[in-house]
Amino acid sequence: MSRYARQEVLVEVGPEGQARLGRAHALVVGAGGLGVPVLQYLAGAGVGRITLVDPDVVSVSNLHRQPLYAMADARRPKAVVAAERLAALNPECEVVPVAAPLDPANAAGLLAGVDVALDCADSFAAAYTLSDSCHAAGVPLISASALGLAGYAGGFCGGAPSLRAVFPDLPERAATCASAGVLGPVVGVMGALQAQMALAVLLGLAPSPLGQIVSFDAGRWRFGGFRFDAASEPAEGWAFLAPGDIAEADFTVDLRGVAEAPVPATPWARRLAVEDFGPGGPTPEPGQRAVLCCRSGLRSWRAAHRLSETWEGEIALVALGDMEDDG
Amino acid sequence: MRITVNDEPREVSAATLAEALDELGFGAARIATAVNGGFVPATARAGHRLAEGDRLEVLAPMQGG
Repeated sequence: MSRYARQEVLVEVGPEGQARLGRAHALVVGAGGLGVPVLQYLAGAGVGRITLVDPDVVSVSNLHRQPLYAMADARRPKAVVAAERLAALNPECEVVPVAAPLDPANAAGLLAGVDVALDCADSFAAAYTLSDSCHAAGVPLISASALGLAGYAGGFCGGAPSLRAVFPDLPERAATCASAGVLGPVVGVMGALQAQMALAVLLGLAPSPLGQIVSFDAGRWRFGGFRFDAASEPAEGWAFLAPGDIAEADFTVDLRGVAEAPVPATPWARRLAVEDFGPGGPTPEPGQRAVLCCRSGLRSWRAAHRLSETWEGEIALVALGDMEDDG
Repeated sequence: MRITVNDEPREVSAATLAEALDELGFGAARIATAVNGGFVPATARAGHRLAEGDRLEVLAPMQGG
């Protein structure tokens, strides 16, 4: 009996749908708490090809929500270990590991020939970068996030509005799994939901998950959500820039303190704080591009808010990433 | 009037979604909002009138995985 018999029997799948899955190419960004169930279910379902992008190594403090990995995998690249595990799970699924961060410079290339992209990363910068690239390339994007006891997953781009249409702006402060904690099964629920949404996209099921957000609150045992098919793209928004694309002519600002980052983003970057920007604060020369750098992109976003109050020129954001792994 | 906010019953005196968000303490929070399962963008909140029994959903962007 075929290993896919129990899903092929569904009218939503059938032999034709199974063949579609076998021909499909998924891009999975992030092999952590969301990525692990996504990878297991997509490989298990017989998706033919998965490109897996993750710059981090396996960390013991993350195993509570990444049960694909074992203690002995600690300090090995997650993308490589995941590819090994998935090869054993289903040799019909070809997994191409890319042990590097997704950034605005490599996103378009990674999306070439991809049928569906999955944002399983843990940062706003990765989510918005992927959303911008998917929107431009017309590739469906399944994006999710989980923190504490809650999370959400949604289908964007590929004909539906982008992530920016639903969330045009970011909060002043945002917790992370490292700062606020998260329970493994909560992330697992959101990752499983992403996998289901991706299969629905590949199988062409209706109603489409594109244009739909599903939210989950494990503290109150509540699922919610809404459709956003008619949401319009925001007129303005700051794009992310790859660290390697900062030019010497840019008004480059490193918002990280010296203690946080002894070596600045570039030799010509000036060190400023978010609060330095605003009325009376520093501005670039006319025609110069402002490039605001920090670790996650969140301080850059806040500084861009303040700078845009007093300056109308181009602003780009750079997320420099973690100095050490704790993804 | 009685509405629900993320499935919790709430009593508000506000007539519009924008007023209700202020009354509920969301103020200038950067959130996505939906009424009865349909997204309402920030620019449309002031003109979106609420009715008895409306289901309001409020979702903040988060990062984590």
